[in-house]
Amino acid sequence: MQITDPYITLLQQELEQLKLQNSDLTSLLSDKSVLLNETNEKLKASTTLMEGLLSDQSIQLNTIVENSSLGIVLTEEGVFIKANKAFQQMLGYSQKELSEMTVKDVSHKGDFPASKSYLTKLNDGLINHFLIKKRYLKKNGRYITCNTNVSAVRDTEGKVKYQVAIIEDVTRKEEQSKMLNAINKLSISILGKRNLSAIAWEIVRITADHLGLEDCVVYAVDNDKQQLTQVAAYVNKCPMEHLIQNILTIPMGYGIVGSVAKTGIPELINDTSVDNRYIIDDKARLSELSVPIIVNNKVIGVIDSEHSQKDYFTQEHFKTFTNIANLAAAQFNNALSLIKEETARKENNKLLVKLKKSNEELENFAQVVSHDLKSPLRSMSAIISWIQEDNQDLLNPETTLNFERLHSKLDKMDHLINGILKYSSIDKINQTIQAVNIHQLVLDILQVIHVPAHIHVQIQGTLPSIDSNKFRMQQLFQNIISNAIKYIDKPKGVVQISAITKGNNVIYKIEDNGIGIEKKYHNKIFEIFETLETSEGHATGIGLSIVKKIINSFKGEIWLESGVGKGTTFYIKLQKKILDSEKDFIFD
Amino acid sequence: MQSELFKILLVEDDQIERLKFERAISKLDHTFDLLVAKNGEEALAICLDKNPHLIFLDLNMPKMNGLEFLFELKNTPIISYIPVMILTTSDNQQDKMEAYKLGIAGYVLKPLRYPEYVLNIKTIIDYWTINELV
Repeated sequence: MQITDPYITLLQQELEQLKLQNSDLTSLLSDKSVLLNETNEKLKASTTLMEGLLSDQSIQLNTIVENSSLGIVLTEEGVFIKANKAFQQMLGYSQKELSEMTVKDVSHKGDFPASKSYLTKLNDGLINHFLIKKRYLKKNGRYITCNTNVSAVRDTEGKVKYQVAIIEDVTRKEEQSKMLNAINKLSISILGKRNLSAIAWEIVRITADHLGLEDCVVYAVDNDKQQLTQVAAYVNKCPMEHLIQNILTIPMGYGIVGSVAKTGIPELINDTSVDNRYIIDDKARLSELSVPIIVNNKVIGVIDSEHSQKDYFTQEHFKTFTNIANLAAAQFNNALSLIKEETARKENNKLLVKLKKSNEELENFAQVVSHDLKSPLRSMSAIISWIQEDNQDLLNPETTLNFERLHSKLDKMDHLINGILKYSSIDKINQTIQAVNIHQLVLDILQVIHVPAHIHVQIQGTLPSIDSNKFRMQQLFQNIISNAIKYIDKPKGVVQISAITKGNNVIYKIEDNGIGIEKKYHNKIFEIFETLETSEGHATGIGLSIVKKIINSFKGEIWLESGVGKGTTFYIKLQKKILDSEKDFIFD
Repeated sequence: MQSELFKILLVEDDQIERLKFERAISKLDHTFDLLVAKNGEEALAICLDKNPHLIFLDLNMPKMNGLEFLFELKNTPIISYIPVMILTTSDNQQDKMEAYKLGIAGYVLKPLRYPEYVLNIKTIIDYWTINELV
């Protein structure tokens, strides 16, 4: 059977179609392949780029880590994998040394419990990081205090693979705050303390305690004996009172303390083994800090501390000690001036009491004396009178005159005694202060005292009233006016009384045309028992001293202008108003 | 009218002062019975014994002084009525106040001059005797 044409044609058509499709597919495939290749190339390029970028980032990160001032470490199960320069410098170990060490090796045992509790939480996935303040042991055996920030790096399963810790050395900061604290504490605790020993004990206690020093000693400088004496000592947080009992004295200039006392310059010795001035106390210590306490440019004491390690004392210690010394000096200065003030006050009080007592004694003395003096006077006067009486007919005129002279002298004596009595009792009379009408007071006085007919007393204007004591003012003006009248030698005597007011002061002016007073006597006349040579009769020399005493007690002033033959003008200055607060002091 | 003399008690430790007083009253018109005590103790005894009409009392005396005597006198009922004149040289304000508080008839400062003294005493005694007679 022959294949019919239509089929063949159809088959051929199909075949052509297939061929066509095949070639399409091939070209598509080859196209795809090119694309793939291109993509692949691109991918390669981008990978290279990525790799480059990644390595750049890594370098940058490393740079940051390496140059950070903070210590940064990477640990794996407590072993140092990587530690930056800062951390190496902090502890004094190299990277190589550290890589063979564990975190435990450089940690203070006392901080283990706190660290452990945090690490457990970290491992359990409860926290991802924590901050702890802990102490690290340096290669040189010293500890530093650091703030440590620990973060966990976990694997895909969430298990801690690495730990990254960022560590900041806060030793200095802590020290600074400790020292500041110490200074603050000290400034409060020595406040009000007066003696060297009490202040010294506070210094050693607080300084040693707060700064964690091995010892601290305060020496007092005896400038007379040229030596230093221990007054307070603290060793390993114990007051060494027994040590003070066997007092250690150091000659001035001897040893480090002695030379600081001599020069007044503080010293920080980093290695005492190379300082030939160093004196071994109870045992040799390798570093020493010695600071003088200076008051009024004189070294009065030295604060000293020693430490078993070399290079122990820092500039912070030095500054702190200097501050403490200054603080102590200021306190001593305060105390000294307080003591001085107190002594002065005590001395003053003693004097006041003494004065008061002697015043009282004087008063009593005057009372007693005047009584005892008056009695014989009276007796003498009486006996003389009897002799006169009994022998009236036998006495010649001269004898009678002599008897009169005797009486006159006795009168003068009696006057004197009364004057003493008045003077001594000035402080005794009623001491009320009130407004005193001086004008009326003077008018009253003029009624009472004897004014001879040839003397005219004038009051010009109205004399102002003042706050005062009436009795005193009466004594004052009566004495002054009597005095003016007494010494008038002119046939026509004039006494003028006037006053002017100046602010709170009134100046009373009492002017006479009497005999006048020589300039050289102007001050003398106010002294007790001073009567001038020219005076006659009843002058006791007490009157003006009473005047002066009264004026003084009112804080007033008295002065005079006078010339021989020209008369005398007395000026009396007194306060017009006396404040209540001042009244109490008037009679003190 | 009483027949007995007017009795004056002088309490004074100073001999001359006593003489002075005696001499002064001897010049007066009346005659008196003058009793004398040298201190407060003696004076108190005399007061109780003799009941004087008037007492002149000095203040400064040994043993019992004037103020002490005055206190005793004024606190002893049967003699507390006797008038007392203080006759003294003391012008001490406190003494004066004290004496007036205890109750006195007067406070006389002894004048220095004898004639004045005599006059003073005369005036006082005249006053009291006239009172007594009335």
